[in-house]
Amino acid sequence: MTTYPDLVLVEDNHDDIEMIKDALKDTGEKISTLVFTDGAEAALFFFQPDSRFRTNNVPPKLILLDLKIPKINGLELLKRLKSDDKTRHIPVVIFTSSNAKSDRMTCYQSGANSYLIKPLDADLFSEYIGEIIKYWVGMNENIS
Amino acid sequence: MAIPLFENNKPLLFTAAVIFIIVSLFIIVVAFLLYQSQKKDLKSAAEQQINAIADLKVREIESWRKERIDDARFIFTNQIFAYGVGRYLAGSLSPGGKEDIFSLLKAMRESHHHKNILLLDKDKKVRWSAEPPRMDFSEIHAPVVGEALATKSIILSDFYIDKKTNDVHLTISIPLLFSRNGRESILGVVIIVIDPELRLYPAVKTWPVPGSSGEALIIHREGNEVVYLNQLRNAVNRPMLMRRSIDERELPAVKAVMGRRGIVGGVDYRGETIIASIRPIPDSNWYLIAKIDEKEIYAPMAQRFWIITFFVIAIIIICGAVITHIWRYQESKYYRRRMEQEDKSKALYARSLIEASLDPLVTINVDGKIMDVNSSTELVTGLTRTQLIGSDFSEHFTQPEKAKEGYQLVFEKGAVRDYPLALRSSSGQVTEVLYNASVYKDASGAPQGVFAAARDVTELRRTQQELKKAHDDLELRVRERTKQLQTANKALEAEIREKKEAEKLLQLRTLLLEATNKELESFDYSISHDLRAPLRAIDGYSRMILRDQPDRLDNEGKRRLELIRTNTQIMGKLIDNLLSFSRLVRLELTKSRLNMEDLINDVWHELQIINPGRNMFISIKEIPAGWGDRILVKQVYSNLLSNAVKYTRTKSEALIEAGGYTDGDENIYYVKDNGVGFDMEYYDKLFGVFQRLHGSDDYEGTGVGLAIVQRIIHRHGGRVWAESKVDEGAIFYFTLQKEEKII
Repeated sequence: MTTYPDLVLVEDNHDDIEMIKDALKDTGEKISTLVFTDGAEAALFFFQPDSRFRTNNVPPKLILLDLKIPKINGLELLKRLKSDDKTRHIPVVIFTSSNAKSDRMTCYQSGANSYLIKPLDADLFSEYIGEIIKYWVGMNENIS
Repeated sequence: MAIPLFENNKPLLFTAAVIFIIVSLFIIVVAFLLYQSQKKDLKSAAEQQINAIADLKVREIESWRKERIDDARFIFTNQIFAYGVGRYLAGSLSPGGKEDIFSLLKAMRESHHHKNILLLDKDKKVRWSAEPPRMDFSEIHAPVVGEALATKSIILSDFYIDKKTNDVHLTISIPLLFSRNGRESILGVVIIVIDPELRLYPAVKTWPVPGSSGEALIIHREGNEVVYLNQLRNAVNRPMLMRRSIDERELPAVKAVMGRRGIVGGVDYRGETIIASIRPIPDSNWYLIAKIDEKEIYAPMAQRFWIITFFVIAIIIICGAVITHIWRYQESKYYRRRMEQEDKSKALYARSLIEASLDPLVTINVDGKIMDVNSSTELVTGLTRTQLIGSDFSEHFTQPEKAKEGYQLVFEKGAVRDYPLALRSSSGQVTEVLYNASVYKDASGAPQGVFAAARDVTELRRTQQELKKAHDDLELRVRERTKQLQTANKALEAEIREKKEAEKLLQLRTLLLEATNKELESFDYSISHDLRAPLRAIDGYSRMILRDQPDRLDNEGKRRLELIRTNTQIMGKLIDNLLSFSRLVRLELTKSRLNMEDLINDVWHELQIINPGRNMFISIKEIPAGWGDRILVKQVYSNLLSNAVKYTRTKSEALIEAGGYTDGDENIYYVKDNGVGFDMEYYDKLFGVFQRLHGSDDYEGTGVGLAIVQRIIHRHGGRVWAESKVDEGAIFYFTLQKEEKII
């Protein structure tokens, strides 16, 4: 049996990926994570008809999405996720370094479930990830 | 000048009309009351009359009844007659005796024209009758006869109809009593049949006064009906002994049987409204009603009504005429008075016009003597009014002969215009004038004199000369000016050309600037992203090492890694400040009127929250309203006040003061504190980016605050400066332009 990811992470910065993974470890829970380093890869996973996601039909509990990613940017991907019947219900948390007001507004209007700015302080960074997991992944478990 | 209007006392047509209506109404009311009282008089006269007639009729009926009873009593009390009748009934009376009895009865019948006299025995059988007795006799008479026998008294019956002849009769039943040895026995009854037509009806019917509707009635009650016992004057086709129900309450007959007496109103059996007088007839159940139609009573009123109406109309017309006359008279009086007042004021008006004239005005009579002058004439001649009047007109001029000719010309032609003369005043001063004059005439058209007005033309002459000179000057100047304008025009054309080129340049620059702005935006974006990402990584890895591999580091190594982390945070803040500083360059200013006191209070409130436990006070002095971008000016106060709070930290009590004043076309604002201050030697570094005058160990911050203040104020076109001494606090000043006028 293949394990299905609890978390899909779309992030191009390898340092950030490592920090996020480190923070996930800090939560003390085993969270299976699937990482895409560009928008196109993620899009293939979610939308290609014969993809693992499409055939198995077991959705991840959360998508953690950066905005500034190559090929298909985060906002574009968000819009596609929120307009497809199979992916619409998956929570999407935007995790980005952009603190532009316009970005925040557009993301919420496009259906983002949360919008967080990556903090510079590593302690805070780890704390944020912990909160996200506790809230989104934990909650989903309770529901199912 | 306004002619005064005399609105007061004008007699109003309305008032006259109201008076007329009131008087008319009064007359109509009086006439109506008179009419009513006459009507009442007539009614009471009629009532007296029918009362009198009723009394008369009652007396007549009474006497008729009395006579009948008296007749009966003659038989009733006649014991000899009774004895004879007794013998007759017993069959033992002699023929002479019979003759005696029956001749008495016959004589009685004949003398009173009775219809019949009958003798009945005590078994009510007819034993004798003057006329052949009727077959139904005992049927009709039985009750009355029975009553007479039972009561042993004379009974007068009611009216009844003989059904065969249709005549109305009454009967008197007389019981025959015979007394012997104190014992009384009934022998029989004598019945007298009376024809009321003979005496009773005519007595009732006759009406003692002229009139068509007067009528007397005898009635009585039978059960629930009233019966009219006599012949009715106006009931030709009605049956004898007419009956009406007592439910017909309006009938006077019904009123009579219901107990009414004296005068009553009502509707009689014909349906006519009448006035009646009711009397009971003594010793009977009969009532007498004398009545007369209301129509007849009030007949004279119709005529009187027309007479009264005629007089009312006549009096109203006369009143109307009198009131109209008085009103016309008042009106004409008012207009006359008003005209007089208007005339007077017109005269005053005319006089004041004359006096108001700046031109000397005079009137001259046919002999050339002055009759009247205005005050301007006094002024120009230097003579008083009394000196002038009566003097010769021509002697006041330099050329008397020409003056004489002048006014004679007026008499010939009727008027002259602009006749040139020169006036000489008493002091010898000569005034050039133009004379305008016209003849004035009396009502018949005969010339009375000349009305003359002189116009001083000295000033006019001088003005004409000046005007000419000015005109010449003007021409010269126009020529010069034209030359100048031509030169200027050429210069202007050149300038316009230059300006157009400049505009093109400006457009180019704007394009460049826009491009730069865009670049700067993307520059900001990369700073925030690309500079932060590695910093985040440095901090992140440092943290991981410290956490995951603590055993491989000695204390010094750990401390240095912590320092790396601290420095990345400082770097992050520097980037933030740099970004916000660079954004200031591009931000569009949105200027508005600012209440500086409110801004300061807002900022101070935030500072109090951030700095709990600090013993700090602010006093806001008089401060003019500002003109600038609300957010940016608030930022200025935020930076200045947080500096003030920061650098007073060492003091036991932070005393901060803010205020401002107007100086020329700018407002100067200041923020003063009692903090550590700074050394004026380093003043030139005060507003530089990332410049600090105090060590960052003592006072946190990146050194951008004052640079931002300076940038914001410069963008508003103002100035910033500061004054301080070490440990004696600092004052920061900035200026803003006064409110711009929005066109």
